[in-house]
Amino acid sequence: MTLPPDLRDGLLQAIPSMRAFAISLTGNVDQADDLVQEAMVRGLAYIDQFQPGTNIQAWLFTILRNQFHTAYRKRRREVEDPDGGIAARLAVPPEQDGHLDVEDLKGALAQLPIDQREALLLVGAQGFSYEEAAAICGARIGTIKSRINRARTRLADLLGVENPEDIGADRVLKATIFNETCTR
Amino acid sequence: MSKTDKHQPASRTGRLRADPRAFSAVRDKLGEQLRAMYGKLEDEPLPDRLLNLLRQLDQPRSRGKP
Repeated sequence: MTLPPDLRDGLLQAIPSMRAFAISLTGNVDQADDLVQEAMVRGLAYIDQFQPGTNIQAWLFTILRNQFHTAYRKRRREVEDPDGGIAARLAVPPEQDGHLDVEDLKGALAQLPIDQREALLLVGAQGFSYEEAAAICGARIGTIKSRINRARTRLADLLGVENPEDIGADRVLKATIFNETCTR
Repeated sequence: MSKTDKHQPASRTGRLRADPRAFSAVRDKLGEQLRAMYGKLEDEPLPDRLLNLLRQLDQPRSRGKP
């Protein structure tokens, strides 16, 4: 196949991000690589439908996200885990003392409902705008915002974070909070 | 959202939520952690099967494909 150079570069550049998104979304590297591979193959097969001048990364993410949902629905029927109970048990519970680490965060992410997890990742990690995330998820902007809000609140809950200090030393932040709480 | 969001006495972050500034600080900090985690994943080397796929992109013409 021959691709215009800008399209080819767009595809190449999107792959590491698609993989980071897929791993964060599924919590499983093999499954994530399957998704990225399928999305790439599919993207190439349907490259004619891509509108030049629009965001190819968002376009590829849309494909990947759709693949994920198709696979996810199928797997849910096979495993019969409608409440996500297995996923929750597989997640690593955070240590109650000591600092939050990456594994804690991954475990907590895995416990978020899928719609909240993908919205949070698209905007909060990947850096898509609310508009782009809404287009990728086929949802309204307001819905995306509210999902992200709930995701953030739930993450803090799951991780049992009561204090920003638990996340990492940050003297400035700490000072700010103490000042704020005093004036309240 | 609904009233369930406002009444969560069992929540460990309930106390924190009473202090919106502290709560938003926690959420900002979690956001930083999330981006850091994501950035590390983006920097990971790609597996062979994806690299192979990329190599195909660089081939001038597909062989035997219509």
